[in-house]
Order: sequence, then C-alpha cells, then structure tokens
Amino acid sequence: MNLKKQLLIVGALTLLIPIAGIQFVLQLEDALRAQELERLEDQAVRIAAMLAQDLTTGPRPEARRTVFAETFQRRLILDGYGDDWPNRPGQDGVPLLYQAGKHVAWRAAMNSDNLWLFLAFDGLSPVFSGGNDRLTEPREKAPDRLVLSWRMPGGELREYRVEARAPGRAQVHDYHRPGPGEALTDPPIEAFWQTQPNGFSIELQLPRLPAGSQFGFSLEHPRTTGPAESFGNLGRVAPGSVGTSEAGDLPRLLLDQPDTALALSPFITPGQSLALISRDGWQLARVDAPLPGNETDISHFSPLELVQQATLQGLRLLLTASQEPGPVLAPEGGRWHGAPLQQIRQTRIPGATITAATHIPGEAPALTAIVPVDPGAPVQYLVSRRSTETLLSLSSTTLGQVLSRSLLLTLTLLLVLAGYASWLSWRISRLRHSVSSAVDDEGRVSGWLTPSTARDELGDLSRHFARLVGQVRGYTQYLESFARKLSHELKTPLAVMRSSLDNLQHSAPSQDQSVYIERASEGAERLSRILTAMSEASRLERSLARTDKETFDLAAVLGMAAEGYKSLDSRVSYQGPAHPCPISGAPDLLVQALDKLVENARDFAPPEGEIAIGLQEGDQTWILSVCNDGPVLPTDMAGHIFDSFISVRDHGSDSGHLGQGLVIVKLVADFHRGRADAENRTDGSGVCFRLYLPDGTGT
Amino acid sequence: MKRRIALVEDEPAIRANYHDALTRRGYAVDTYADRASAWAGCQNRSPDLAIIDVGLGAEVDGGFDLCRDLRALSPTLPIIFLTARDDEGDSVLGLRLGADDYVTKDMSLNHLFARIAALFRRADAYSQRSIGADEQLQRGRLQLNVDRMTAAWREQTVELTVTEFWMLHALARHPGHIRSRTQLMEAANTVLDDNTVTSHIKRIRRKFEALDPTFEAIHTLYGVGYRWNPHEV
Repeated sequence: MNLKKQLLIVGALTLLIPIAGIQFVLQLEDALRAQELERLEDQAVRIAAMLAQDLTTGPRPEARRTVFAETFQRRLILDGYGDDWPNRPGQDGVPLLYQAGKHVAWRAAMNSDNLWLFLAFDGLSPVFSGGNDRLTEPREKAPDRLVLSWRMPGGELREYRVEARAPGRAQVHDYHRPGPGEALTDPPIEAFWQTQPNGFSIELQLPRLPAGSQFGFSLEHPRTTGPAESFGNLGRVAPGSVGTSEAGDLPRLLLDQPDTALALSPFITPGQSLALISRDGWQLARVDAPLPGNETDISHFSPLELVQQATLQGLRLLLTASQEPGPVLAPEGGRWHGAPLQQIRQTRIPGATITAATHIPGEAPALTAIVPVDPGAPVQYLVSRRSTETLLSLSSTTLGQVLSRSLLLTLTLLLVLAGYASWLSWRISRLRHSVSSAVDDEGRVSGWLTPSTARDELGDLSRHFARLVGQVRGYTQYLESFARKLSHELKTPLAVMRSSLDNLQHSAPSQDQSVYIERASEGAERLSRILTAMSEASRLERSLARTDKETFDLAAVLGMAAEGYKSLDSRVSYQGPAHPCPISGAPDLLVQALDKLVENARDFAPPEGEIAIGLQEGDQTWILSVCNDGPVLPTDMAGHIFDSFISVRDHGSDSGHLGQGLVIVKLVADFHRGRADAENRTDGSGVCFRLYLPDGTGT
Repeated sequence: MKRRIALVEDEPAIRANYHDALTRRGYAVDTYADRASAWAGCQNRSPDLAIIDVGLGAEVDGGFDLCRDLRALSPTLPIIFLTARDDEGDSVLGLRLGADDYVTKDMSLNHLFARIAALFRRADAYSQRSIGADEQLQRGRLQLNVDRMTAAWREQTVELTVTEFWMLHALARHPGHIRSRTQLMEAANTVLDDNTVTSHIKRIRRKFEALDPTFEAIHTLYGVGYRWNPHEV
C-alpha cells in the first residue's frame, strides 16, 4: 500500500471527529424531542383538565354514532350538485365526502341560516316516483326514499321522507304517512335530487339544529323482489338492530365549538397547534400559531456567516433525514384519522395519553400529544402538535453556531491534513523519481540528482541521495574510463620498450641476446594487443555517435558472415529465414558484435561441439542467436555478464580480452535499440547468447 | 645528400630511440623536446620531413599548433603526427591541419620507416626529382599514382591519407580478390583493430561517394573482408 493510501486512511480517521459530532447532534436532538414531548403532554393534560371543568364543553354522554356539521362561511347553492362543497385535494368539482356504509357518502355543514346536507349514492340507480322511463307506466312499487330524522334536545322526534318524481326538486313527505300521499306544502326541508354518472346525489337544506341534537338519515332503496333495502349507517335504524319501524338510537349531531377555540388560544405558542376532536375524529375546535418567518437576508452576510448558514442547512437536512417522520395523523375534511387515534380509542387504561412524532403528508413532522379531555369518559381528545420544522437542537442559535463552527473547523483541519499529506507524498515520490532517473535501466548511475534545499528530514534524505549518486557516478565514470586511461597511459612506456627493442635488434646482437630480444618483443606485442582490445570498447562507443544507420537485409549479412566463420571453423552452422529480413542499423557493427560472440563460442565449445548461429522472427523484432555446446554460465553471472571487465574465462588465455568482448555486443545492441541476453540451455548442454533487435517497423 | 628529419617529442626515451633508429636508417635527425625549440630549429635548418608528437609537455595541443606554423612556412613539407592518444577526432583534426599522416606511438619502427619512405617518394614525385615515370594504376574509373600517392575518380582528384591510399591500393591491385582486414592492415603498414579498418574503408567510400553517388567499387563481404568490384576495371 503506497504512502498516499496510508495517509488517506489516517486522514480518513480524522473524519471520525465530525461523525462523532454529528452523532452527538443526533442524540441531542433525540433527547430534546423526548423532553419536548413530555412538556407537550404536561401542557395538554393541564389544558384538558381546564376544558373539562368548563361547563359548555362539559362531559357528554357517549354517542356511538356521530354526525358532524362544520361551520361554513361559503355560499352553497341548492342544486343537487356537490361542486360548491369543499373539494377533494387535487380534484376540482369532486366534493370530499365521508362514508356512511356501502354506497353512501355524505357531508354536512352549518351556516348562519341552515343545516345543509349533501349525499352521494354511488353504485345505485335512482328510482324516481315518476318512473325512470317515460315510456313505461308509472310504477306501482315504491321509489327511492331518503329518510331524515331528528330530535332537538328536549324536543320531539321529527321524521320525513324525501322522494323525487324526477331529477330536480324533490318532494318531502311525512315519514309516518306512507304512500304517495301529498307532499308537504311547506316542508322544513328543501331537497334537490340529481343523477350522477355512477348513481345519484341529493342536496338538502334543513333547519338549524343545536348541538347535541339527534340527527340521522338513511336511504330505502327498492329491490326487484322483497322489501326495500336500507342503506347508510347513520340512520334511524342502528346497524345491527332488527328492522323496526321505531326510530332507534339516532346519531348525535356535533358542531364546531368556537368557544373552545377561544379558550384554547391563550395556551398556544408559535409553531404549536391545538385541536379538540371527538372520539370519531371530528375536529370540534382548532387553533394554530404559525412559526415566525425566517427572515434571512443573504446579502447582509459575511462570507464566514454564509458558510456557517450553509453548514447549518446541511446539518438540518441530515437531521431531517435521520429522524422518523412517524405515523400519519391528519385531518381529511373535518375528520382526523391516523394510527395514534385508533390506538387511543382502543386503550383500556383510563387517562392514557399518546405522545409520538406524527406527520401530515406534505408537512414537516410534528411532535404530538393526544390527551383525553375527561379521563373518566373519553369522548373528546385534545391533540397538541408542535412542528419540528425548526429542529430543536438547531433552533437555539448559539448551539447551532457552535455546531456549525466546529464542523467547519474539523472539515478545514481535515482538508489541511489531506493537503499536507499529499504534499509530503508528492515530495517523496519526486525524490524517488529523480533517483530513478539518475540511474538507467542497467543500474548505471548516469544522471545527476539536484539536492533539495529543504531543511527537514526529506531534504536531508535528498541531499544524502545526491551525494551518494554523485559518488557512485564518479566511481562508475572512473571505472568505465579506466580501460581507456590505462591503455593511454601505457602506450608511451610501451612505445619506449618497443623502440628500444627495435634498436637492440639492429645493434648486432648475439644468438642468445637475439632470443631474449625475440621474447621481449613478443611480450611487447601481446601487451600492445591487450591495450588495443581494452580500448576497443571505448573507441566503439565514441564512434557510435558518428555512425549512420542504413536499411539492409539482416539475413543476407548473417549468411555472408557465417560463411566466413564456417571457412575458419567447421563447427559453425547458420539457420535463418529464406526471405529478406530488413532492418535499420549498421551492418558492420552487427558483424563486429557477431565476431565477438562467435569468438567466445569458438573458445568455449569443445572440438566436437557445435556453434549454431540463428536468425528468428519475433514480435516486431529479429532475434539473432549464437548458441554453443560447452560449459554453462555460472548462475550468479547471469545479469552481469555484459558489464565491463566481467570474464568467465580461465586465466591464461592469451587473447587479452579482459571481458570487453561482451561489452561491445551490448553497445551494438543498444545502438540498434535492442537488447542482449545470455542464457544457459535448459538441459545444461551449453549456452545461448541472443540479440533482440527491433526491426524498425512500429513505434 | 642525407634527408633531414625533424623529430619533436617530449618523452626523452622515445626521442632517443627514434633518433638512433632513424639515424641508422640513413637519415639526418634533429631532435627537439618542445614546440618553441622545434620552431626555432626548423626555421634555422629546414627539414625534409617532420615527425611531431601531438602532446608536447605542458602544451596539450602544442603539436597541432606547430604543424600549422610549419605548414605555413613550407606547404610541401611532409608532416607525420605521432601520438599516444587514441582519438579518431584528433586524427581528423590533425589531417585537416595539414598533416600527411597520423600514427600511434606503439607503431612498429618498420611500419614507420615504410611511411617515411612513401612520403619522401611522393615529395620527389611532386618535385620531379624522381627518376623515371611515376608508377600508375588504372582500374576502371579509378586512377592511382602510387609514387605521388594520389587517387582520381573520373579524372577528379580524391584526397586520401597515407593509410587510406595504401588500403585502396591493396584492394584495387587485384580486383575481385578478397582482402581480409588483417591484410589491409599489413598493406597500410599499421596495426589496427577491426573496427578502425572498417571506419577507414567507410571513409574511403564516403570520399568517393562525395564525387560520385553511384560509387560501388568497394564490396563488403561480412566476416571475410573487402574486395574491389571485379567489373570496375
């Protein structure tokens, strides 16, 4: 794992700080919420106790069924159509209605003059008293009958039936006078009957009824056989009771309680909502206090404040995302519904309350406390809600500031650390890079290293490396030029020797002296050859710069050269492609290198051994090989055999190579942008030297 | 009359040995150890041939300077450079400065004598002091004057060094015959390594190609040697 990754991991560890910070904020938020819920509950309980004592909203006998008539300010037109009633959300012209059993939906409203009732019967075909089809005879059976019943507190039961001959204004009859008797001339009820695509609707205008009255309605719909069927569970016959002509227990009428709302309003705080609901969920009173608007004028912020605000927003989003929105507890029309309501209705524990986070779809979650107004007789509940829109932990500006500042600080620190780590890592890799560029592929130190001027440990390291590289370079250069320098130095004394011997030769020596002169001359000759061979490599190196490349047929040249070697030594054989092998290079140099390889091979191969020169085609390269039977290379020499002065010959050879032969091979290989290598044959029978030469095609 | 040779060499042993050898050969030899005395001496007693060591004591390129001066004094004086150095660049410089030959100090004395003799022969040929006609060789478009050591291709003169001339002569004398590098060395009265022979041949080729880009008279037989194109006769 490289340094950068290591530092990244360490740097990533510092991320634990903001993570811990955020965890802290989340836990703080949880704690604050719990606290707030308790507070809400306490407050709600106190308000509920106060309400319970108020006589106007005093305990009511429990009503199993209720009908709720909201107070309406809007104008309603009595036409049998529901488009002037409150719409379903998102559906214009379709009124929001409550279900009263199968096929029956209703809504009631109270305005200053009347009680209004709208009924929709879905899935039933209306049966008019005037007959549905003008072509048929008037029916003998009873038509659809809407039965309305009410009883004011302390008053008498009134029951009416509403029938229509045709869509439009309906006729009102006294319920207890069956038969198509005369309609009432001055009925207290006005009704309009309209057909709908799936059924029919009836709109009624009724006299105002006080709260606490009993009120109910149902539809008697004729069947093809048998008695009429009763639809609607808010009517005179309680569902489940055996059909009887006596009015059963009528639903109770509930109305808005503006006084309660007034009583509640002093208790409310910004962002809070208080609602009094009946057991069935009807909203009897509600007060809301909106949150004060967040006047954030961005243009007045300094850059630091802007960043702070941004961090705060980020934190808010994070908190919102991490908190559960809770179950739905929302009003639909005038009726509240939701799991918490069901829960509190079902509980058997007297005085049980519910506290939870709930939400109305489309709004931020609210901390909610639901409390029975009268613990002994829970017919009404107080719902206290507090929006979490301004999250509790952040709503305090100080805490919010502290949080966002520390988060910012941590992030900045992290960035700085990351930056510093990157910079360090970059310095180290730059040092590594400059060291490796000072050393070429074969490990020769050929470049310079500019030491860093920094005063820290890395600078020290760099300076040490620079010194080291300089020393090794000097040493390498000295070694490499050693042969040349030596030969140069030796030439003068050699010249002295030879010229002296020459003169000696001409000064009429005796027989004995001639012999010694002869030997000395031979020695000098050998010395001269050694010196020539020693400097051959460096002379070649210098001449390489002046050598031109030409395109020639490698196979032809090798073939020619091999012929020459063969004539000197029968062990030599050549094998190569029959087709031309073009290559860009210097044929003389290649032959020179080949000379050296063949010379080596001839020296090492046994008399019956073979020397095989070969040319093969590789991947955009020509592979020139000289393989010979004989002893193998020592394994530790493998990489070094092409270095200067390395020789695996036994001492005592008189050719005076001093290991320069293979250096020349390597120089020639490099000149052709190829490489040379030496390998023992796998069966240990000999050695193979190969030159890999790019053929000049391709890049 | 004895020919006078000026020998400029800072190494005393070599100077003495060469002096003795040349004297034995029949030449009159004036020896000098440094450039200043050499210059003074040559102005006094002008030599017929000068052998100059390139590195003269403290002056690293003293020999080159002396050569320039001597050449200014006498344009036809044969000058041989003697050096321990191995640099081909030096030899090119030396020859450009007007030397006629450039040899290393470890050359055998016999080889040196052969060159001296050739240079004297050439000098005689130019000054028409020689007896009889010049020895000439004609091979195709090549014309060699062995005494003057000049070469011409299609009547145009080709400037060759002594070594180059002898190698070319060795090749052209027997067209079609292969001459190994060793043989060429011997013919040129020198001992060189194979690579230097190759570069001499290359240089010869380049000089001819400069006059005639279609020059193909010298064939390379890799691993064996060189030969004069048998069709160039």
